[in-house]
Amino acid sequence: MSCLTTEPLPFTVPITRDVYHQAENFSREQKHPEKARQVYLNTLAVLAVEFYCQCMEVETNLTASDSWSLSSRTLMDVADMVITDLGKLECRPVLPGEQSCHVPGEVRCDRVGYVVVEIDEENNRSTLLGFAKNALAGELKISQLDSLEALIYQFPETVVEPVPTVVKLLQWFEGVFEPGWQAVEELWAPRSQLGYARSASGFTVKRAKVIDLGLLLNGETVALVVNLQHEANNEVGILVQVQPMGDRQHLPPGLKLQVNLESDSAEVEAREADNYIQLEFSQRPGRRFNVQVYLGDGIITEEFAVEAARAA
Amino acid sequence: MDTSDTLEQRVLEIQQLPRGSNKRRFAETRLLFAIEKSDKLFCQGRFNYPKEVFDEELWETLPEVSKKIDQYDPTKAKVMTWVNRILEFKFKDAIKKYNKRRKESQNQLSWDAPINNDYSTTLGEIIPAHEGKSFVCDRVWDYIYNDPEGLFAQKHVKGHPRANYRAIALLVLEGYSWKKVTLAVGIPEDKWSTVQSFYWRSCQKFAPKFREYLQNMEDE
Repeated sequence: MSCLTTEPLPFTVPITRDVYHQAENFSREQKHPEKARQVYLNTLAVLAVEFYCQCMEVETNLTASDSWSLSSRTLMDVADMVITDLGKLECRPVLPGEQSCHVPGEVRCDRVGYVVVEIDEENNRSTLLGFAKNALAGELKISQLDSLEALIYQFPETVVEPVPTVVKLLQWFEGVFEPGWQAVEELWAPRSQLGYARSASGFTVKRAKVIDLGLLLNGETVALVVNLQHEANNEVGILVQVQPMGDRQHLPPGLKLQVNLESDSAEVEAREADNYIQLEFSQRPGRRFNVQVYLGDGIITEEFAVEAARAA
Repeated sequence: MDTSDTLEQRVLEIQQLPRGSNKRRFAETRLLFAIEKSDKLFCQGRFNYPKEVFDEELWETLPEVSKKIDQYDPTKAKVMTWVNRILEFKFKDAIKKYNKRRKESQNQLSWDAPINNDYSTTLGEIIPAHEGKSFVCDRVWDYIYNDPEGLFAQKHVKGHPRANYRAIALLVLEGYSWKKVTLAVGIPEDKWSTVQSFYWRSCQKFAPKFREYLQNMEDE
């Protein structure tokens, strides 16, 4: 984002007795000393960011965060904090002098970003050092972090309508599409659509969204295509596909497409020289599902709903 | 004298920006950081108390500054004078809290508190009572181990029933490395990242179950 200044913008918060107590309480739940220390530092980092959000009048929901759930913080290395109308912000602790911050695999997806927090127990200060949108490599160099300004511009503005995050598919039949979902013809010239056209014949509504899995694809992009048709009993037939973009003929091998329904999930993986991969299923009104595309640790999730029929 | 970046100037800028906008939040972040770092934060009697009292005041003061910023009037006081007035106000509460805490810790034998003034030995260090002690995290272990609905044993890596969530989670909780966990559930060691991502996905999937179960336990 070119509008951002490059000036570093840290933020320092005091660590009070109450904050230490909260961190001690959580760490005492754990049996292994190493795990206890991890929980302790994670809790301090989360509380520092929570305090910052409080200063900025940004609404948070600690009790909905994984870090505030006994099972999640026991089973995983999590330091997230839910920001209302935004999502989970991961707050990773580092100790004074550390040059980089490890981001464990379990928190590399489903996050709106990462704040690195230096915990200085000697001076009772936590410092929010900077922000990163992604942490796909699992390691964040402190010197390469974005300024907190990049985090601030993620915050939902209370004066602006929030962007809907769930794609409502029944609206598509009425020609109403969420931003980012383009007509298929806009993305591919007719010639390169041959395989696609054959596979999706019969579907009446077709929209595609360009997705970017970052460095893993060496800058290549792929598109998620969603095809819809009405079926008997008000059900909607859905065909989800992943296709290469630009001049590419094939998908990167190992790229996976997963559909998670409320009761079931299915996954398909691209082999060498696959033109596309796809999954087909039907959904009743009132059902929600999500689609995930991933390669290695990179993951993109899209949430969908087939809206419940409105009462007549 | 260049006054474009004085605290007063910054506050006036903030007052021009709409509340709840990110432009304002950005300006407030810069302001609060400058205030925290300034050596002009002061209230009478600050040094008669340990630093934790001041930290407590500061904790209460910073959000208050951003909340009340529209009330600041540059014709009446410098920004730091205004901030220190809020600080002073919070000081009384912080002292009360500190005294209460001191009284409480004197009334109970704490594991972490030194047992007398001459040595820094704590009670927890002399009595080796930690063995056999039960931990809150064992509730999670018990739930997975007992698997009352059979859900955890049912969910497994595709084609590998032995590599089920129950078996994997119990090994993870014991602190085994991912390679060891993978081998132990009958999958070649080099496929550890498959097992790992299966485990994380399943943890997310079961999170509502865990919440419900642990909540019920607490209610009982």
